[in-house]
Amino acid sequence: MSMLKNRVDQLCGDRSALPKNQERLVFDEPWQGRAFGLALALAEQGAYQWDEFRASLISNIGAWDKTHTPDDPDWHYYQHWLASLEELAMDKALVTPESLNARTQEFLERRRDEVI
Amino acid sequence: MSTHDHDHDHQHASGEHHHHDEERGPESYYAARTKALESLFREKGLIGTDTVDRVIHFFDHEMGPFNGARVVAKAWTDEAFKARLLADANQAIKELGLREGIEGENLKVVENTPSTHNVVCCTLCSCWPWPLLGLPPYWFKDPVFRARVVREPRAVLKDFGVELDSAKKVAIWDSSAQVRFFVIPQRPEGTEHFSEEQLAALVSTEAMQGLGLVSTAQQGA
Repeated sequence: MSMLKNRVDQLCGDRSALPKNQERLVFDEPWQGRAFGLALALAEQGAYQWDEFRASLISNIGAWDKTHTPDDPDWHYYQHWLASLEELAMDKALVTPESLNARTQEFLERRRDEVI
Repeated sequence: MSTHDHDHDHQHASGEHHHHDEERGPESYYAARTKALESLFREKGLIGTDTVDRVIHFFDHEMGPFNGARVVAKAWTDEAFKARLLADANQAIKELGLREGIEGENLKVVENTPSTHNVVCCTLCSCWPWPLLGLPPYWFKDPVFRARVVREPRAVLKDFGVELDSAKKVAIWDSSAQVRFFVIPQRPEGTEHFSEEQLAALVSTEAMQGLGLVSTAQQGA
């Protein structure tokens, strides 16, 4: 687990840095904390290298930056975090777009009785 | 981005139990998407059911219960505030500049005293006042914990390292979509000269759910 802190600290210096308030991580909604933990958990379990996630995040944010001004109010860090996680998971064939969409729909409609 | 992902319009008579999720409005897309990913990763055996919880637990101090701890420290040092907090918690926490209310639900504060120890649980799902306490810890969502805490609270407390005097009454508060409970623990001895900030640093998530006591020995632990 000691790697976890290092991994988080590697995200620094640019827009890929985690939102913080006085050195504390900031989550505006519970899913953001969950997505944060999920990305780290997969690296911890060896599903991908942390660098691969970091690269995905940087590229995702880079693509957004090209089409938006820096002060665009639509900027939401954890939406990029989640999109990066999805894309990497699909690149690595950990999930398929079909299964992800179907499962998302189940949770959206509360048809799935699974505590997460 | 709205922080109000779900509505809680449906009322139900106390004692009548529904699954709380059904009472909420639609899940936000992002919340559902995150759950879907975790669900699929679990299904494929890429992570265990507790892997993400363990990671989050590691960052607990980052995601932790600062707001709740501030509320407790204020209540310990300001009797008038404590009285307002016990009477109308949602209104009182606004005084501290905290997020208004808890996702529209009512927050109810109960105070530990020399004669009564309060424990909060949610037997049906995992209702949790997260703006005050951060992300719910792994144990709160554990079905075994949820069942046991009602049946044998003293044994559960013992597992958490809390041994109560047998004369002390244990009160169990079952959080629901309508009311979420929050415990003001007993202020430890020897903290008369502590600032609010120092006091807040002593208060753990467990203490604000009644599964821990506050002591000065916890500092730096």
